[in-house]
Amino acid sequence: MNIFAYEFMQRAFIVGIALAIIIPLIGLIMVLKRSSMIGDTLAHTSLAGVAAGLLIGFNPIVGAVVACVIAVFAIEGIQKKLPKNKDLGMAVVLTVGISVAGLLTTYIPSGVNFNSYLFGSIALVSQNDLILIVSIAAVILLVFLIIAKDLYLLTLDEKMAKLSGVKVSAINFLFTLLTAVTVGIAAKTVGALIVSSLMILPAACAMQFEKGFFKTLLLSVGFGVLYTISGLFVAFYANQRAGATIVLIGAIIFLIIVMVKWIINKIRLGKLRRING
Amino acid sequence: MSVISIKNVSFSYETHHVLDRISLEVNKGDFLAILGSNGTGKTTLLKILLNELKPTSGTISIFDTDIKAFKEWTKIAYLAQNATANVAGFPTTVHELVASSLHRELGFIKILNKTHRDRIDKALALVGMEDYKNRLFAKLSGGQQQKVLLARSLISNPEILILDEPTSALDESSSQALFSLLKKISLENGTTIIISTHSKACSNNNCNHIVNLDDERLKEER
Repeated sequence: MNIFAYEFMQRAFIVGIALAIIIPLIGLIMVLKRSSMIGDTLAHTSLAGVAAGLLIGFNPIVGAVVACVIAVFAIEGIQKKLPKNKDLGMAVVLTVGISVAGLLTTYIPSGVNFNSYLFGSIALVSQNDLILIVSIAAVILLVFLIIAKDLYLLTLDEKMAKLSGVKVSAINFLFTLLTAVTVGIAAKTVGALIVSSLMILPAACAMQFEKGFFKTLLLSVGFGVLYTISGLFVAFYANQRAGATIVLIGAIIFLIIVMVKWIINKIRLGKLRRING
Repeated sequence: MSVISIKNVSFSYETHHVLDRISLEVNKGDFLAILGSNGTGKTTLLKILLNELKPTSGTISIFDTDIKAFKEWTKIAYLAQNATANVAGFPTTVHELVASSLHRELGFIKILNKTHRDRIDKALALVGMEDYKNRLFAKLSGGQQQKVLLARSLISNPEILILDEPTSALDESSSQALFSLLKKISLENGTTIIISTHSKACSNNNCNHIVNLDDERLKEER
């Protein structure tokens, strides 16, 4: 059974790899900014957009993107009003988003599979979805590459970034917008409930290699692509959900890296002790 | 020639008085140490010099221009207190970190050319860290990290270098080494250096100008 003989799997690989390139880029910055929570908030809120799309009859991916962008504005607005409790903005938007999704789903006609958006349905990506997702992913990648050095400075030290001429507010906002759109387009394929895992795991693996910022970015993308390709193969032949399989493979790879690193450190320490008598 | 002139500057955080009518002249090429215990207002004074805080009264001139009208902030480099702590744990190489100081000079695409790379090498060589440029910053010792941050501050060839307690996390020999390096930079490049510190011994050995901040007043010691 040749996996590439199926058109839906060809589309799954193209969309999966496109997402596997952009999601870890956004994810590493989020991890370094210690704002991983925003990924989860947007992912849950995207479900409200998906439900609206299914109910009204427009593309749920567009709905997810719009919901995420609205969520970003709402988070920024609440954070400005409550600067001392910044995480409250995310918590409020997350609960409102998931509640709206919950309400809307009761009106979705039976036969429409809303659940596939929770855990992803990469094999059900249509030709139109493919064009939409790959085009948006290309724009996200381009914008990210243009602002990568601003993001490096901003993530490293916001005050210093300001002194170095980085337009901190604008770059912060642009990055949050990129995050919103990324989560939005990934909701259908990877699954809204697991997209944030795909943001965090490649970054977590890449950081174990203790390289510089730009090499860590590249490594994150490498891990994202590795998880996706292996996840799609395993999911196809084991007849499992692709999104969940991709994330579980990521988690297994992370555990292997941590264990190997721990063993290597133990061996090195033992050698040092022997040398020092 | 005076590069910084402070006249009768006072500062209060609401009702808490920190500085009371202090005056100070800093000349070109000075290596000035501001001594004082914790909480005496050393960092406050430096923040006033950097225009981050406005004095309650008094005047400050930088290069003969009133601080309110002063625009040439690129002539001044600043190394903040606990600057290494901000970077600790962040995946960055020494080269990336020093290169980030050139951000303002880079174009839209922000790619380093040969001149930029040479300047990075020169700045690292100046602080004796040229062999560490591909190393991870977080893996260096406290003294080495301070030297890298110093190289980062020096890459733009500032006329004035302001350092807020750069030796607070260093042992005595590393502190002495950093002070010696700063003295060398001051003498060779004519850079005016202002450093706030607790280390009286290092200051006495290396600085040509020493003041002591105590009980809201500034006292000239050398």
